[in-house]
Amino acid sequence: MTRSSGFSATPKKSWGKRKAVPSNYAIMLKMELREAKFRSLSQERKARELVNGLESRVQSLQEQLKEELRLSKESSASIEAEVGAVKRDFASKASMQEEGERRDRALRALMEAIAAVCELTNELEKAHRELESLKPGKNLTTLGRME
Amino acid sequence: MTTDYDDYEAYFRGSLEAKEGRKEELLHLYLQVRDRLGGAIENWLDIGCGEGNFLQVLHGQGVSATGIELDAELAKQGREAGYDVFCGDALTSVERMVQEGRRFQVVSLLHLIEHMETNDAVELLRLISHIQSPKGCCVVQTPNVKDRRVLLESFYRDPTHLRPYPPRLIEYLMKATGYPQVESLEFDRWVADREESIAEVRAERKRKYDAIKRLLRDAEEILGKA
Repeated sequence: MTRSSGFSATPKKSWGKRKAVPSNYAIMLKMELREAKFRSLSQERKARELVNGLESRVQSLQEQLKEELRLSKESSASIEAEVGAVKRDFASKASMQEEGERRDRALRALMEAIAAVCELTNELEKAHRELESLKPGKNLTTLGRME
Repeated sequence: MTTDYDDYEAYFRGSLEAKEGRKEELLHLYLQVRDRLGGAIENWLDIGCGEGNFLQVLHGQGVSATGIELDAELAKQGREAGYDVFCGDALTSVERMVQEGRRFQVVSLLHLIEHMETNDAVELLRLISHIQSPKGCCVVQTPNVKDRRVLLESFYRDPTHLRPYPPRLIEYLMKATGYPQVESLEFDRWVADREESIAEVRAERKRKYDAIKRLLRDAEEILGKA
């Protein structure tokens, strides 16, 4: 009998110290244990792979999110710039409209003044003609009356 | 003088339009005198009547008109036109009328006295005052030397004009020869009669000028701000 493997087909009976003899059950347990270890390692590897995959996926999503955030910020800045431009344009147009109204008022005042000048000129011409027609001019006529 | 006066008249006054225009003036003169005398005029003596233009106007207004004309040919034309025209010198003719006791409500001397020296003009006015009806009227018309164009050019264009008679001198001579009420119908008189209405017109125009100035000032201010 060899003790190299620790097991023998017929375990020796001893009254003294009883030497552990692997039973079939123990063997079976060992084998189960090994299988369990093996499954555990396999599952661990799979779990690790899964974790790694998930971590990678999370990282990718984080990067994607960062990019989306950056793009969103850029877009927001662009929109704000456009809004600012529209506001400035509106203010400019309002200013132009106000200036146009002032010029309109000035033009109306000028037109009224010109019309008044024309009317007055016509009156003066008419008066001048009347005076010319009434003026004896070349002749002096004197009336002497008896008492 | 060697130049014929008829040629002068034809050269300066001959156009038909000028004669018609002159008749309008004469009608206006008649109406002015009639308005001042306040009614119909009984009779009228026109001394220096020429070919009878004024007589024609007066006849047209229903006035009994008589004329005196020195130029025989013009006097003849007037008579041929049917008017009562004496041919002769003004002084002599009026003196004869005084002697005859003739009376006229109105006596006119249109563009005559400037052809006379002052003494003759005074004598004629004095004689005329003796043939005037009571409250009668003497009308003297002469070139208006207050008009510079007349004084500097047209008066001396007529070589038979002896001297100008300014308005104040005529007024003085008429007062001195029996016409206490003397009225000048020159332009200044027209203005004086209408002084009030002229002042109103001036005030109205000033208001308009001020309004125009305000409008222009407003426009300038608005454009200055723009």
